[in-house]
Amino acid sequence: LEQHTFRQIEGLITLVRDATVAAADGIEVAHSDTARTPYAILQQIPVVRKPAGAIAQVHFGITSVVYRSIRALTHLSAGLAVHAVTAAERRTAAK
Amino acid sequence: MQRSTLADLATLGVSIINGFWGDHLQQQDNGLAVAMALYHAGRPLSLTEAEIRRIHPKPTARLCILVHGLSCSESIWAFDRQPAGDGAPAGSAGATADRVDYGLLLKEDCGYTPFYLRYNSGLAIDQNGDSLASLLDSLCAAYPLPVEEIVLIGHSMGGLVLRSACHPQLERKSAWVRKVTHVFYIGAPHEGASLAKIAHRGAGILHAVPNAITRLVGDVLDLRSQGIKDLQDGSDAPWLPHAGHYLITGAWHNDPEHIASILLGDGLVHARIAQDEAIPAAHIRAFPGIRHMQLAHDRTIYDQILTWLQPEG
Repeated sequence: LEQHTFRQIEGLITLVRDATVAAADGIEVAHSDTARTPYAILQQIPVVRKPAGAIAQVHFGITSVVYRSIRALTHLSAGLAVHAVTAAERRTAAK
Repeated sequence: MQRSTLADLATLGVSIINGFWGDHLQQQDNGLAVAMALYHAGRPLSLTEAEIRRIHPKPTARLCILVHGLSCSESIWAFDRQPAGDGAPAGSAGATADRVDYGLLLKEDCGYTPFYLRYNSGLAIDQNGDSLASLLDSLCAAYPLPVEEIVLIGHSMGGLVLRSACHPQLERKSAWVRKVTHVFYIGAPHEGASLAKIAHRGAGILHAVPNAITRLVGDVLDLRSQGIKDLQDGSDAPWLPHAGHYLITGAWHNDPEHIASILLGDGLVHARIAQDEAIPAAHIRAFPGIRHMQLAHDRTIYDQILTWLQPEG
């Protein structure tokens, strides 16, 4: 493989990373916007206001952790993949 | 899978990605971003006299520059010299191995020396036009002979890039612009591309709907490149006054009045143009039944180009 090809593979990894992170950001916003509406309605009803509030907190806490994990895992995987490509590029150049 | 096939697929993939997100790639200095260059056999040319002589051992003073469209590469121009079923048995090596393109045929028939551009079609059309103008300055400076004539051929967005490249050069009086004699626009959306307009309006509508999901889809549509966004409006660059301008359009159906041709144009573009005195009616030809991508590699289209270049036959 040529140096140019290694640059392209790195570029593809970076692009997939950016797309995944951007998708996670966008979907998280859409997810929380969508979920907020039923919780807001439930919190208007005196009988279920308290439990609904507690459930909403747990729900948004869990989803926030999940989306942050996706972003962190994506960055980690992409970093490792770029590292591997760079190492392969060095080995090829040294030959 | 053969190595060349893999390389072709990779080039196609990179060209598609550049068309859709090329401006983002360039901003991020991503290795997938295509740098504009003239290509030969899948590799960029360094514009030196030695390199030009290496690929064209017998250069002529007449140049032909071919510019591809959105999300394509110079490979879009290639087609079989001998159509399948025309003499050679279908599937024989002779029918598939001998690939030609408009540039190569113009070299054989008229003595033009062809050069094929590859560029990041996701960048703004004017930005690519400026870069092409500079590139052609460098080509003429490095060319082994004094250039006497330049023919420009642009497919789809490539036609708009050519108009943009010629425009600012009028003021700079760059040498190469004065040598341009013919400009062929093949399926070029001079008045904007319907699909780009639909994407623009679709994104606006999706953002206007008070719903998180439609907003998200609208955001995804908004990620399209500046090159695609520029296709909404087409080009208002003035026509190069001393050159002949020739428009070739296709249509989805053999009947241009068929509903499919009216609705879809050539499949991607309605390449109509308002009446303009720079383009006489004799310089406009429609080819019903030839669809957008096919326009870049069809013997009928080449024959029309040749007819315009050699009116005396």
